Amino acid sequence: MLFLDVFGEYNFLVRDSLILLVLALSVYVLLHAGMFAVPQVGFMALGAYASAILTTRTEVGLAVSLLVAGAVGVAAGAVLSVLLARLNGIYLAISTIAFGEIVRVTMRNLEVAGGGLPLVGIPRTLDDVTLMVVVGLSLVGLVRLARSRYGQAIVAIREDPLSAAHQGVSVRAYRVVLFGLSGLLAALAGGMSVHLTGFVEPGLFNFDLLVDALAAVVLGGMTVVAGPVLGGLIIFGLPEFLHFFAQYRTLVNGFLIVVVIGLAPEGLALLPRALVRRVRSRRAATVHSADAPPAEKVEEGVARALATGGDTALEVRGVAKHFGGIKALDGVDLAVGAEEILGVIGPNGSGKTTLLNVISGVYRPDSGSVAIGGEDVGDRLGRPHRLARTGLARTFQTIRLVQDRSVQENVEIGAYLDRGAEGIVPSILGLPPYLRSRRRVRREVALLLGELGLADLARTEVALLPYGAQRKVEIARALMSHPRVLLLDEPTAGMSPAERDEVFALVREVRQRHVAVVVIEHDVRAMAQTCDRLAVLNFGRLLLVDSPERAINSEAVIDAYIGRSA
Amino acid sequence: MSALTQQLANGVALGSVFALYALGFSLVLANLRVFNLAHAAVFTWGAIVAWRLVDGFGIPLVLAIPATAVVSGLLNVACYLLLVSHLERRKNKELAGFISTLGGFIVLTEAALLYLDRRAVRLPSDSFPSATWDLGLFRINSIQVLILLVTVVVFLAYRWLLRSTSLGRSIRTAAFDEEVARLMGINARGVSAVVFFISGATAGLGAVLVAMAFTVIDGKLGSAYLITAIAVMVIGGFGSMSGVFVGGILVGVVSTTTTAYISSSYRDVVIFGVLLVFLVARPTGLFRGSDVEERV
Repeated sequence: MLFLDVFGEYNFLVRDSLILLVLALSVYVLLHAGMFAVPQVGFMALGAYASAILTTRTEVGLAVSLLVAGAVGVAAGAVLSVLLARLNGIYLAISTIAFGEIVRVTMRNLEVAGGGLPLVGIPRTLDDVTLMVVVGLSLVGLVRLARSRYGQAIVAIREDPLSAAHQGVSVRAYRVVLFGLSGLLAALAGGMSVHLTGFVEPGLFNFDLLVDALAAVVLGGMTVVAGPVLGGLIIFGLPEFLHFFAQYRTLVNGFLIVVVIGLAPEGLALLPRALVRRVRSRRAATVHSADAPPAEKVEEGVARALATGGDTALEVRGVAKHFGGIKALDGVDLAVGAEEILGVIGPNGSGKTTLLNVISGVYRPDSGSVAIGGEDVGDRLGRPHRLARTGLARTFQTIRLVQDRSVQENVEIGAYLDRGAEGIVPSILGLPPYLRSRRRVRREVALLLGELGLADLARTEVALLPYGAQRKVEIARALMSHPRVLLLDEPTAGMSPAERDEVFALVREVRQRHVAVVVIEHDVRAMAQTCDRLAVLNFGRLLLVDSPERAINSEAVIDAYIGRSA
Repeated sequence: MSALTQQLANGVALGSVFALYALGFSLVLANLRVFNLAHAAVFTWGAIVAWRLVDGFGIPLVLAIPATAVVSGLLNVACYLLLVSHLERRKNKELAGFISTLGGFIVLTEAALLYLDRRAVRLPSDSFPSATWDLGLFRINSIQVLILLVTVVVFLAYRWLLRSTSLGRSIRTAAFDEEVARLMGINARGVSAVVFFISGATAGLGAVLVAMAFTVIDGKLGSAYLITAIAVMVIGGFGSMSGVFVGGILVGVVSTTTTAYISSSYRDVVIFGVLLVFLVARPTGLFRGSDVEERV
């Protein structure tokens, strides 16, 4: 079937552009997850040579050839992501560019790949049905992926990998899978291209090709599937029809890239939406915290005396963490009961945040142990996504929300683990188990937002909310995972007194949900009113853990704060 | 005189050029965290400017070299102002900067190709007195001596500038934390512009030397060395001056010896093989310790 012949003299260009679109999609797969990695042309070369070598030496057909190319791409992607697991940002970009060069240079020297000469005589068997099926499946698959719970997790990774890990998302596993997926698409593009042209040479897979694919994704927009499609049309499609333009084509592409990244970084596909948003956010700038609905009435719980509330939810034993010569934590022991609020206070630099970071998995402690619900989690320390799976949730000192998404969507990410049971296939195909679990999660989010007094803001973009409301959204997201232990790092920093009271009321209410709460805050008076016990840290050591009255009246604590020599 | 020592000497000279290319690239990358792809095009234009000055206006090469450095530095500052400075507040500024300078790279490279009408040009052969000395173990020519001299001077100047001047302290503060630098009263934009100028000027120097040594200048001159420069930076360690220097020499020597003893087509395989090993096993390079942990 060669129905694309209707394009007459342009039929080759149309087919070639469609193949390059698949390459652009493979660029999109990594960029839209916030991974600054550009190994795609290398993957494409591997796929192209796999197909070329296979079909010139054996009698296999197109389908087998493409399957093998795809498998090679997946394997290359997965292996590369493991090899480069430690790299991020610019260094990841540099090393993936180098990967592309290594592949090209290797192909130029491998005997089986022609030893620098073009491989010719590859069966030109690519038919339009196969081409359209590959393109169509890629597009539909990526759109479905973006809408599944995996798509939500990918957005969370892009916006803030650390925060995503704390929702239970394994950033490393996603990286392996997305590199594999990128490898699959690029290698399929490579396989299809050799069966279109009938030959292959290493020079085809040069830096210029990467630049074209990157330009397409950037112009169109790297966060939606429509981006590479629109960008591909502009970069691969248009110039071919504008012959007079050919000489300046690359020059204009360069200008377009600079202008788009400078003025419309969302890309052209999202430009209309971005313009609407800009107008709206200008109007919404008038939202004050007074407009936010008041918190639900919560029981003004009187601070209870010593640790009560049944079992120990969190236990920390002898935890130490050093940064170079600085002992940020120097042997801390703590136990927090279920339904207890433990406040952690101490002067700046006393190790409060480091303690939370060790418990939630940001850092691996140098020594010591942590147990959650009586279970030792030593094997999970330093791995936030696995601690999240053990029933731990937290907020950070700075707001870590997806700013351009609604409150509803942000809180939904908190249910990531909860929805794990629905399965990959139903989630991507949108089958009933997925729809059921999505309905259930949405009901739960609505309920939770109602309880926190955020119901009216569910559809509002987070960036437009006052600071205090954003804090509450973070707490709501943390609660969506039904944690046994909730860690709050300065939840009222920078808030007005009214907002602060709301959050402390909320903290007291959270305790009623059978959650152990560990909260860091500088406002000693508010902490004394809210917490069941106070732990006082100084120079990485625990001075004491006691009832609020006794803690704040203790000589040692006063010394630590005032700095009197002990 | 043996063939091996000769190849080693040639490798050191070639490697010095790689180091000059990578030094400016690395200065911007490590201190400002900008992957300035336009650097490659600035390198190309450096060679073109030198050729214009010498061949077009008949200016002696001795004067054309510093003039080229200044023009290249200014061109790189223009790249900073037009391609990078407005993106510094972006959340994903590393990616945005990379893509924006990629656009600039394309525009400048295309402009160079159009300017030269897609042909290659040459510096006049008599623009620099040529001589060759036999030093027993190897022979060395006047251009190689000039390359080594310029590289050593640039290296020492970088060291002095970064370690012993208040500008150097400002650069290092801005590299550590731009916000802190601002609070300390450092004009971060000004410092960035100066860093781009130094980087571009170094590229210009490297470009003139390349043009003299290999005589051919075309629109893709800078692109041809881009990937090699990246390899040099990775092997040497990002942000380490001595690392870039040693990395450059290493890659230069590997380059000349594999070309002489194995085959020129394997040259890149060896270089990138070494690069891959470093990326996987020691991504911080030869001259860098382990990275600090992320703090939240």
